[in-house]
Amino acid sequence: MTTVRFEKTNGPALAAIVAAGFGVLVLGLCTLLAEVSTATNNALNWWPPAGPLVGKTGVAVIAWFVTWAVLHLAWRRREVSFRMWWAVALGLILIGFLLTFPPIFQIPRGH
Amino acid sequence: MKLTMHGWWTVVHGFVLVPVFLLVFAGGLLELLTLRHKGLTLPESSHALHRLKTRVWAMAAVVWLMIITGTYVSYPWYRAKSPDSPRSKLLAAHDLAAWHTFAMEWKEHVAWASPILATAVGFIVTYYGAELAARNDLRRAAIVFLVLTFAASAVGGVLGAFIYKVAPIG
Repeated sequence: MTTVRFEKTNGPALAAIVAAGFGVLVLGLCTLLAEVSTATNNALNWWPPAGPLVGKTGVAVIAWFVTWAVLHLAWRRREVSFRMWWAVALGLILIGFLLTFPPIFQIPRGH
Repeated sequence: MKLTMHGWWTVVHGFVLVPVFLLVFAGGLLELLTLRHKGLTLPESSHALHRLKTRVWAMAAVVWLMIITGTYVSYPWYRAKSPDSPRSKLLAAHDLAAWHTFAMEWKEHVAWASPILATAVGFIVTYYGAELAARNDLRRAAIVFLVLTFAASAVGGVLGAFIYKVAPIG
């Protein structure tokens, strides 16, 4: 059996993948938290014409960028477990998607 | 039919950028799917890679444009406090309220996953280049992310079209 050796490690790709998953998760969490707490909803109202949507998405984008930068620096020369981190990323995305689905994030409203 | 400035922006957001997105998405997906099987010579492979990078980054750019025009241009008009704004009209009619409480609230949130996922695909394709043809795991991950980008954008696009039909931005 021959082992294929690649010029580049898979760390940078998985850093981008996991960070994107984390960004989607934070988007979902902010959506839910804005429903649960009026204080959070008000704190996320960064630009009143568009309401708290700007804060929710702004926090998600910042979390995504920061996570990406940190993971990229940590993994840029490393070969990391694709299976494990791909599963983590898909899990984060799934939870993030579920938390942006109204029948789920509106549960605190009593709908 | 006469369109106001609000209407024109909505047309750009929903009816110009969406078809462009569909074109570049289909092109990017096809290039990624066939990258491994092309058996190309070096110059041909470099052309194929260039096409792939162009399409994937074009898709990411269009998705960012869709989401930014949607959030910062159309959405403030949609949710204006005046009684004739689409949101006010939908919430005022009991049988139409779900177009806001379900459709708009899902669309406005989930669509923001698209640019995040599309940018990650752009990075992977650019960083790994030709190596991606031999890296099945990363290529498949990029394909899955591309499809998830499409899914999140499709929710936004389809629900947006229905909402515009029920309560147009005037």
